[in-house]
Amino acid sequence: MTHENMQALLALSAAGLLDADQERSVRGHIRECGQCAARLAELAACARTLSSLPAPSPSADLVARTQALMATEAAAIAERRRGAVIAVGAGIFAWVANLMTWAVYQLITGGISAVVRPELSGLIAWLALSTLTACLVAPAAAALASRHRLERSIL
Amino acid sequence: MIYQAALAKDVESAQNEESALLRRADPAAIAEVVGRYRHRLYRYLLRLVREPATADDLFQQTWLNVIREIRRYDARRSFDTWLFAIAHNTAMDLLRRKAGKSLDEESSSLPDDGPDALRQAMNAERASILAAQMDALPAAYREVLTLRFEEGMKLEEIAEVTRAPLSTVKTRVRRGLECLRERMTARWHKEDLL
Repeated sequence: MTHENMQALLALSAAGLLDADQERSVRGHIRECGQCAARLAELAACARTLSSLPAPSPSADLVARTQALMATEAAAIAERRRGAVIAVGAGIFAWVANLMTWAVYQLITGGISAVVRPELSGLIAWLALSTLTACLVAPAAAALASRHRLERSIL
Repeated sequence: MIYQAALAKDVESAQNEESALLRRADPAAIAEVVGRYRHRLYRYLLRLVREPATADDLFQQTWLNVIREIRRYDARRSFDTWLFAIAHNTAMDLLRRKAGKSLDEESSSLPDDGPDALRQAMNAERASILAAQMDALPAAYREVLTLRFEEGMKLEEIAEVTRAPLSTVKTRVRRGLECLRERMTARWHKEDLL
């Protein structure tokens, strides 16, 4: 390896970022090259000083404010998650209840036999219609919930 | 080998503990994790942006982002690296918004008591000069030097935090250290501190 190539490795050697082979090459080179040895010593002095720079600390007030903000945010996230679970549960319940009205209607108009042996095309039409209604209503419900959250956060 | 394996297991369990504490999300658990990392995180942010008021804002915003993202944290990853990556992203967002605005210079204060007063004073003087020169380096160099020498991170960890390829991180460490050497050596020799 040339003297120029070796010079490029000196900073990485001082930073402890060379693999064993490269480190051996550098050590071998600096035994014979006073210029590189001096340069490596200077780089190592910089590295040592960097490792021992005093650490600035955040103020106790900043830490306390941050902890309070985090606790508030964590509570808000937990509430949003609870709200989402309830909304999804309520949505599924509403959809199932809507489907069940078909069975009730069949029971009233055609008796028990209409429920046990349903007309397939009617059932599919009802299923499609109730799913479509649910899909149309869901974004509106989400928008209302979002607006409600926003209002509560302002208050 | 056994010692290293045991150490790795300890580190992994500590990482899981931090994420578990944050997921619990009660104020005492949050205070414990913030308390553990406050010095290291603040130092990193201050080295990066140099301005204490901005570092304060970033400190708060980073922890808010941590609490928002904690459910996405993969416990197989190092918590330290994940935390510093969030801090890096938060700082980069801010720096992008502030693009073109100059940041004030800020020098560090130094402790001055210790057993060997002369040696301590020389170290302090040397560190003071270096801290000032460090502030004059480009942010990309300051960041990798802080992560490598103050945080003691490995090359791969620095790459993960900064989202830069390994070769770029190596180049930044090398150039940053070379820049410091050029600026420092003359000063240290002149003041007989080398």
